[in-house]
Amino acid sequence: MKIKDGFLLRQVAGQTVVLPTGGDLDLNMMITLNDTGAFLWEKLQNDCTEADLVAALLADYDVDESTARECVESFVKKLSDHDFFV
Amino acid sequence: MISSSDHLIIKEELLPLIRERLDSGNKVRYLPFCGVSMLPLLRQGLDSVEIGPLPEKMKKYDLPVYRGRTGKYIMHRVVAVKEDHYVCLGDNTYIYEHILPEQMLGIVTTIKRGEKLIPVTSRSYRLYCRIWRAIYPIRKALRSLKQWLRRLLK
Repeated sequence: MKIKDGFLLRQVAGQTVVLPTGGDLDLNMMITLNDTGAFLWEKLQNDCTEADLVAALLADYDVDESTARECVESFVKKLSDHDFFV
Repeated sequence: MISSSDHLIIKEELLPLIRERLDSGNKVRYLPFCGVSMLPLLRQGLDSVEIGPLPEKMKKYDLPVYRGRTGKYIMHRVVAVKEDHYVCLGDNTYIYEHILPEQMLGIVTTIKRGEKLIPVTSRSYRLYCRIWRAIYPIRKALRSLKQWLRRLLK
């Protein structure tokens, strides 16, 4: 899995939002990420698997494996629903 | 009676982002709004607008978005172009506003009316603008009559 090119993360009022890098801006398509979401987004700039993401969460966050797995699955599904993957 | 002004619901923190996109020649969609001053065209809660960068000079019937005195972003129609300012009026208001070019943020390019997208270049939209403006004296007279009748019955 890898995020498509053409998106960037931006801080807006203390929140991390995903924006298209250029072109028109559709406010309805703007996605807000929490700290973990932004972390996973950065990891997904490079090709990786769900297992890689779970491992990254376990390494950087104080979280148990089942919570990390749930978090990754839900995040990946959200991105997939919005067609963010290559 | 002063009708409330239609104002776009723009979160202050999104403004730099919106300005940035408009300045780079892009459009921002779809912004919801509050108010009744652009009826019958724009209905609060049902419709929204796409805005684009400002043209060099606006024309009569254009629908700009500008920062009003209260700081909110208003969209009312240009009904006259003066040398140094624009005269704007909501489709459902009767008080002219004099707006300086520096108050302008962008211009409405498409109206999302329900599920229908209406580009402001469309023939039907342009016809609406002309007819609605042309019958302004009639609308104003009817409104005065309605107010007079209301007072009579009080």
